[in-house]
Parts: sequence; structure tokens; C-alpha cells
Amino acid sequence: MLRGILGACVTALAVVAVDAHASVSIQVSWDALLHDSTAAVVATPTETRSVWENGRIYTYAHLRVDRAVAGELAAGGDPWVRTMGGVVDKVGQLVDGEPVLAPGQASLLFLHPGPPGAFVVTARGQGQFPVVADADPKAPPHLVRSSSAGALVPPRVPGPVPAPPMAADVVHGRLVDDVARDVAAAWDRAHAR
Amino acid sequence: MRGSGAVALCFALFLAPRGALAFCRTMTCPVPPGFAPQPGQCVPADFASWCASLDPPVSPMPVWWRNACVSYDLQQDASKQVPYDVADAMFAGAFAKWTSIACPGPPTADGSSRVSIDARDLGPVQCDEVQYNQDQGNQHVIIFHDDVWPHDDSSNTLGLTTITYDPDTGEIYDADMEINATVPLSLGDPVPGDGYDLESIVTHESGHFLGMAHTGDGYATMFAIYARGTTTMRTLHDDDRAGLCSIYPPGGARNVDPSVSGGSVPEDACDPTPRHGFSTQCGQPPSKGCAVADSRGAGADLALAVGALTMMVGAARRRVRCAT
Repeated sequence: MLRGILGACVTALAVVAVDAHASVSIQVSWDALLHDSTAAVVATPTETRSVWENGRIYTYAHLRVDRAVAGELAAGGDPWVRTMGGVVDKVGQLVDGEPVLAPGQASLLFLHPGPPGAFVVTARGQGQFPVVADADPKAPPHLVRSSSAGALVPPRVPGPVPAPPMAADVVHGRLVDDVARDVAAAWDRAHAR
Repeated sequence: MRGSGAVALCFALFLAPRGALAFCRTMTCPVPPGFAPQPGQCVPADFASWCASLDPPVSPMPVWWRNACVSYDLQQDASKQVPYDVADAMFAGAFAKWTSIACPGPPTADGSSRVSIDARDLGPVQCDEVQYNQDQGNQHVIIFHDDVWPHDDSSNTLGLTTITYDPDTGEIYDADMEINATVPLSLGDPVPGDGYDLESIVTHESGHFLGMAHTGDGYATMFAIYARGTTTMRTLHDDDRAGLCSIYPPGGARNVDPSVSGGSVPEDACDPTPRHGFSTQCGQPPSKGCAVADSRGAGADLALAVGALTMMVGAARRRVRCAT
């Protein structure tokens, strides 16, 4: 009786307490995110396909570029972006810290060339900033840090110099237009290094 | 009387401050990237419909190991920074922290209150790739990458766990772990103020290996933010223990999604052999199929079944050859 009650309790807790993802990554700075990317876009996945490659599952997301912010991709473009993990038939694979590109869900994405014919998200989940509608339907949408980025640690900073701004701190909670303006303004400087 | 006490304990657990029960389990469906998990709320209220909107639709289920014993294997070269013996002892210690957890409540008939999961080291393996083979032997490999981090974020990721599972039940088929040793790692004590403590990372990743996800409890090993130079993640917190006890309670049941066998599956007797057998070698690629290689010479095998996808992905910088 007692064991049954406790078992039911634990089962209930197990069902109530669910997910998030995981890996340990160093936080990416704003400058590094810009520098390591060749394109910054607001884009919406239109379809995804998962495949086996060398014993791993990868997912290719076909994007519609809603807004070209900076770099090599133009509005209206339709690049493919590869992420690790996915589901093929009766096998699924989870890879911590990867961006989550779901059909219909717009994000600001920092991209660079990956496998042939496809891009990858720079700094994995840290290079994705989902577009979130404001509680006020009249207010413009804003950007948030991705919860799929995994566990984060601050970067090492040599000597007494102040830490550079982290990408998530620069972007999180701000309007898309404001961030796009900042990206465009900083893009050339970041790529001149 | 004891029964009413158990009911009271159960309610107390539910009514406790949210931070006291912050643990989360890894799910078969990713959390929406715009949702910020909070203590006591690991997923959004509309999580099931979000998962159903994915392509393909996913049933959100917590993941779990069926067998009473799971194996892990350190890649034989370990790391220039971390010799094999040191790494082996560190992982053995990390897994032991998890698998020695004593759960609250009365002991089982055999007097045990320990979680019903054990980890066995099957020894060094040659395979140095993360992979899951559906028709060949496997290994749950732990790899240090010394020279090149094989993913696209060489300067960011320190540790990475890949879990392969059955999407219909959440049963874990395979788990592999990668440690980025291209960045300096701290071994032993004291940890420098700006150091990345390997034991903390290993203990955290071992939790993922067993099915734990990040928690909102800032004191826990499974917390999502690691403070550089600290060792707090080496030590399991009550929240970590409650999490693993919730998956693998004493007695051998696995608490699973209610749609799977009513929410409880008995463990299989201890056999640490990986799915499809144990192999120290990486799997061989399929003998027939297409390989896609870029103009730089790097290639990636694709099955014939996804040929249509490769066409869509774009052929600008690649050539396609098919094996016969």
C-alpha cells in the first residue's frame, strides 16, 4: 500500500517534471557571433527533412528569408540549414545545444556555410533568436535568447579588461528592427578584423 | 498510518516551493526555443501541440534506459590533457555519484533504496566517432577531441551528449559523449578562477547520459549555467537525486510516459551490452548508397532513400557519386 502510494507519487512527479536540453558551451560574444557568420537573416522554416549521415541523424531545414539583415543572403532566398539530431523512421536523436528550427517559427539566425549546399547556425543554439509576439498585439515582435542553447559558461577574459558583451545580452528582449539596425551597423567592422 | 504519511509526503512534494522540484527530464521533443524553462515548469503549457506541429510530428516523452546496467567506453586515446587512466577514473567517479543515489521511501524487498540503474565501463574502444549503428555493434563512446572539434562551433561547446532513442516510447538506444579538449580544461584542485573544471563538466554530462535535462535549481549539477572556476557541479544536489529517482526508482521500474505500458516499465536484467552488440570499432558505412562530397574533398554518406533531399539541398558545390 505504502509503496504503491509512493510509486504513484513518483510517477506523477516524473510526468510533471519534463524536459529541456543540454550541453555545456562557452557563451558567444556579440562580436564573435557577427565575425563568424556570413549572413544574418530573419527567416522561417518551411519544411524539414531528417537523414542519416555517417551514423548520425541530421535535419535539413528549408528556410524562407523574411528579412535579410546582413551578409550574403537576400530577402526571398531559400537556403537549407543543417542541424544535428532529428527523427528518421523509428529512431530519434537528440543533440544538446542545437538550434531548433520548426516550420512556421521565425527566428533571427546567424549563419555560415556548412556542408555542401547548406548553412549551419553559428555557435549552434546561441546563434538563434526566436521572434516572439508581444503580449500587446499592436506592439512589434521582439527577439529572445534560445532556450535550446544548452548549459552556458562565461568566456575567459585575459587580464583586467572588461568582458565583451555577450550576444544573448545584446539581443534578448529587444525589437527586431532595433537589433537588425545594430547588426547592420556592426557587420562591416566585425568582418574587417 | 504509514500510508497517510506517504500521501502527506506526496502532497508536500507537490506543494513545496517550486525550486525544490525543479528537475527536468530529457524529452523526445525539443522545447520551443522561445520558451524559457522556469523552476517547476520545464515545458510550455501547449507543449504537446508544439510537438505535433513539428515535421514529422513528435510525441513528447521522457527518455529512459530499459536495462538495469548501461555501459560506457572511453576512446582509447583519451586526451593529451587528460591521460586515459585519469579520464577513466573521473568518469567512473561521475557515474558512481549518480548510480549510488539513495532514494527516499522504504527500501525494496531486497533492502535496497538505491536507484535501479548502474553504469559499467566496458573498457577502451578504438572508435572515435559518435554514431549509432542499426545493424552492427555499438559502443557508448566517450571521446575527447584534442586537435579539431568536429562540429561547427569549435570555440564554444565544451561537452556534448548525443542520445539516440525510440520515438514511440522514449527508450534510449544509445548515448555518446564528446568533450572539447581543444580548449584548456582544469583537472583536480584547486581550479583556477577562470578554469573549466573537467570533473564538473563530466558529472553534468553523465546526468544527461542517464536521461536528465537541465533544471531551474541553481545549486544542482544539472543547472544550465556553470560558473567558471567553481566545483559545485561535482556534487549532486537534492534536486539531482530526486530527478534520477523519478526515472529509476528502487525496485527496477522505469517511470515512462503514461501512454507506454501505463507509465511504468520493468527493467531488464543487468546486461551492459549495447544495442545490436558491443564493438570496439566504429561501424562500417553501408556497402551500397550515395556519397555526397564537396569540392574541398570532405564527404558525407547519404542513403539512397534521401537522394531526393540531396537534390533539393543544392548541387552548387558538390558532386554526387553512387557506389555500386
